Amino acid sequence: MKTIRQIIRQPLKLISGILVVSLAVSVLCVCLGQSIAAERTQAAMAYSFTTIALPTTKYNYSDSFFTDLEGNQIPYVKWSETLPEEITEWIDDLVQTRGDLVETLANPGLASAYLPELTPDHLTQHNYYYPLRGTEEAWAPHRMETTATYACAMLEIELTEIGAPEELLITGTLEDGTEADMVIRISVELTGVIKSVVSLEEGYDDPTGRTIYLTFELQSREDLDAMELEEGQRYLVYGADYLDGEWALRGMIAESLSENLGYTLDYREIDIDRAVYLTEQEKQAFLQVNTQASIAPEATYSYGGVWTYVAKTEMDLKNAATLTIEDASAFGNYVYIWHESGGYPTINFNRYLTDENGNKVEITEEEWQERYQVPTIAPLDGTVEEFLASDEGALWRQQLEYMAVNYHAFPVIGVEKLGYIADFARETARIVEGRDFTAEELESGAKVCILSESLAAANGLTVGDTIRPQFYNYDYDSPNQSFISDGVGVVNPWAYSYAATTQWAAAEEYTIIGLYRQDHAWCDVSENLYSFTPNTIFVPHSAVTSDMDYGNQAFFQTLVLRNGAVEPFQTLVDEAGYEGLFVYYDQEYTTIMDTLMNYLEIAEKAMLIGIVVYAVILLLFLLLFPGSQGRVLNTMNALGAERSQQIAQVFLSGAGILLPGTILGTLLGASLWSRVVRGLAEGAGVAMTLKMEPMVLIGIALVQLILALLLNALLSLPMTRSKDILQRR
Amino acid sequence: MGISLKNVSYSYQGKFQTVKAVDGVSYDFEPGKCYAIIGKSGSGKTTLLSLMAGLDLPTEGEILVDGKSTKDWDRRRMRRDAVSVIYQNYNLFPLLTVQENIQYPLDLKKVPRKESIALAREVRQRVGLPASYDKRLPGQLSGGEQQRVAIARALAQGCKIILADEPTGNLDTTNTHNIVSILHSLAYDDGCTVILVTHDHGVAEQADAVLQMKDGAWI
Repeated sequence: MKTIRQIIRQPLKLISGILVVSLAVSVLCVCLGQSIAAERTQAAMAYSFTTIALPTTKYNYSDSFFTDLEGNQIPYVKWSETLPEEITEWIDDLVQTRGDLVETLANPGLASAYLPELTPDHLTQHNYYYPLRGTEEAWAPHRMETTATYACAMLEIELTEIGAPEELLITGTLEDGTEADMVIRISVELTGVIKSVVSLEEGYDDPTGRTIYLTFELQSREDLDAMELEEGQRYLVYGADYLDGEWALRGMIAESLSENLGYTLDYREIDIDRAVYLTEQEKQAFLQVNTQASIAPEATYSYGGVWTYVAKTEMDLKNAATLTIEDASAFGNYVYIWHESGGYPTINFNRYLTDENGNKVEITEEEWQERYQVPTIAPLDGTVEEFLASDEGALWRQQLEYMAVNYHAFPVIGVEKLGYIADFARETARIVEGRDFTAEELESGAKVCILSESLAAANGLTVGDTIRPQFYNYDYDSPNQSFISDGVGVVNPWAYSYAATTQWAAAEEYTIIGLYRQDHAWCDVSENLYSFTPNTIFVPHSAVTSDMDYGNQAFFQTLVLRNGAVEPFQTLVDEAGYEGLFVYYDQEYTTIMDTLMNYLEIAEKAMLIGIVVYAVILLLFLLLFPGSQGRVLNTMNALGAERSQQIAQVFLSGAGILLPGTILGTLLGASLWSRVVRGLAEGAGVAMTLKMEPMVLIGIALVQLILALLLNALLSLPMTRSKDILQRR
Repeated sequence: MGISLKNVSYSYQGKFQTVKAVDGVSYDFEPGKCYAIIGKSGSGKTTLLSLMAGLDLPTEGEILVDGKSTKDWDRRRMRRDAVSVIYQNYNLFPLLTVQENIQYPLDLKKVPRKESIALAREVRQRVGLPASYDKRLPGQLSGGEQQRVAIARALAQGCKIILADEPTGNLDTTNTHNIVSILHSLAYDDGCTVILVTHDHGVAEQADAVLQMKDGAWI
């Protein structure tokens, strides 16, 4: 029927038809497009904001504090350990039943990763406190939890003093139900001089020549006696919990001065040699004035017009280091054996391994020793190298290999969302370069990661670079591992100690997508229950290729609320009789909520108006253009054209204008869309995230084209119904 | 190919009552002859023409086209192959050229293009239109010229039954004469059965037989 030729032979009608259609399409594109943009903005904002509820100490005692939304210092508890069971059960129930208010009880996982190409960030220099000169808050120096993988050391020493062994007692319950103290292990203080360093994390200063104070823990006096330790003898020692005395002393002095200075002093500015030792007369004078003191201070130290006393035990650290040596035989699960003959009951260790089903499989003491014994103290007759090369040095050589891994072991946190980590949620930690994980990356377990700014700087890394972490599992049966909890509370998550009994996952490449900065990096958990070190690497939860540990303490549990749900949630808490149980952080979502809702209302109205305008214009077009084909259809019918041919005539006469009109309208809509959206957003006072992709506009255009063609086709049906043409004359 | 009416009646539901537009009409129209049906407006002649064209079916009786009842015909096919209709208002496609209008029935029959063009030219010439008219649109033609194109289209269809509803109703005397001549030649030269519905007694008198209708029946 040469429909297209017929259309082209009416250029005016063709152009006006195209313009009418393009007007309708552009209106639809703009109105639907801005509505989609509004929804996406809302979704993006909902995703980027996180609202959390952190428990207070109202229902339990604590001497730790955090700052609430109003800036008040509120004491807070260790999550779930000290909250009453009734309350933790109530919270668990809320998580299950009030999904309208509670998003989740976030529970990130801790994994360990070996990264030989990375050096931990200034770990040892920050080991005592974080300098924050000029800030309003004074952060006291605290030692990092000493089970860290980096704090192990292997030293050559000359023993100078052997202390008296002491029994370490625990209180146990006897068969008759009474309690009694039992010896679990013995401890002996040893003093020596460091002759050389065999292995020590590179961030520490070289302690050669310093005094070393060793705390040696082993199972029994018999075991100690068997070692035949001698003063004047050289020994190779291995231990954990290495402490650089001089750094510790600087930290202690700085803390003491900071109280009077009113700000935290950078401990690097402390020069121990400037300490002034008290004379005997001065010491006596001190004791006369301070009658309650039993020992006079050893020295004074002044800085910036203020000064402080320094105790002898502290000054003794000046040229010293400390180390804890633990014989693995003295650790593990145990039962008490009460001897009828009296005396202290002894401990009998149960040795077992946990199989893959979680069952305990008993093993012999010999098998256990072979797996978990670590070197402690070994006498040196020749050089260290000769000893390490000998048969006796096998265990020591093995430990050196483990230490090489541990020095480059990093804690990796698998997150469901970075914002669920409390410090990120309350913005004391934040992304300063790059970006956060996208929802897609979190869901798919994409191999991406976020590092601390300082760790990246220390290793010459930036956003876009890659790292190759090799995850390894935690051996729960080993007594030599660091734990999420040290038994007295929460610790900054540490990587596990590596040993041959752990299992490796394959190394994979992870791309750095963001760098974070913390307001108070390196602070201790006593200051911030939710703290983590700048060596912590964050990845999507499902991107971790090893097992993960899940703690039930503060860092590892955050109650995440729906954005905007603080008020109704608080009402719920009050109605349950737990008023004041939580404090809330919502990243100021409540301040933008009204504005956002206002904008969404406007966007929805604009969308509805746009749809109506589009529908009216489209109907007019269909009636005026393809709808005017009546006479042509009559003639076709009279000439015997099939109904399908008549339908095609109507359809093509409409499609021939709808298609170019849609294309033009889409282009028009695309050019107008951003202006309209911006105008609407400005009117509502919302900072718009314009997240319109071209494919969305094309999608809108295609859908409306299909709809219009469908209507066009439907219109042709009644028009092509066979009628007596002559009667219509 | 002739057309026979066997006691044909046609009733339809009017606004207030049932109307019998055609009432028991019978006649045999033979090929090679020209017939005229006259009658006042509302006499039923146009309705009868519609029934003969297969645009509707009689409510009583039957119409035989080439010996076959219209009830048994695929009526669209009948209008393509057996019966052509020429209208008072020409009923040309306003946005198709003269050639395209003439070719349209051939396109419906899927006649090859070359053959279609040749046939269209032939019938165009036969109705007295020059080649320069091929590319013109109906709007560029006079009434008589448009009616010639309509007749040419009917010729191109190749139907042996030509029904013409007031074919000269909008034409002047000269064109009326020309059109009637062409229609007669279709009957006498081509052996078609030509049936005209007309008000014009002068046109009717030139036919081989004149049938008068009143109130749906022959007078």
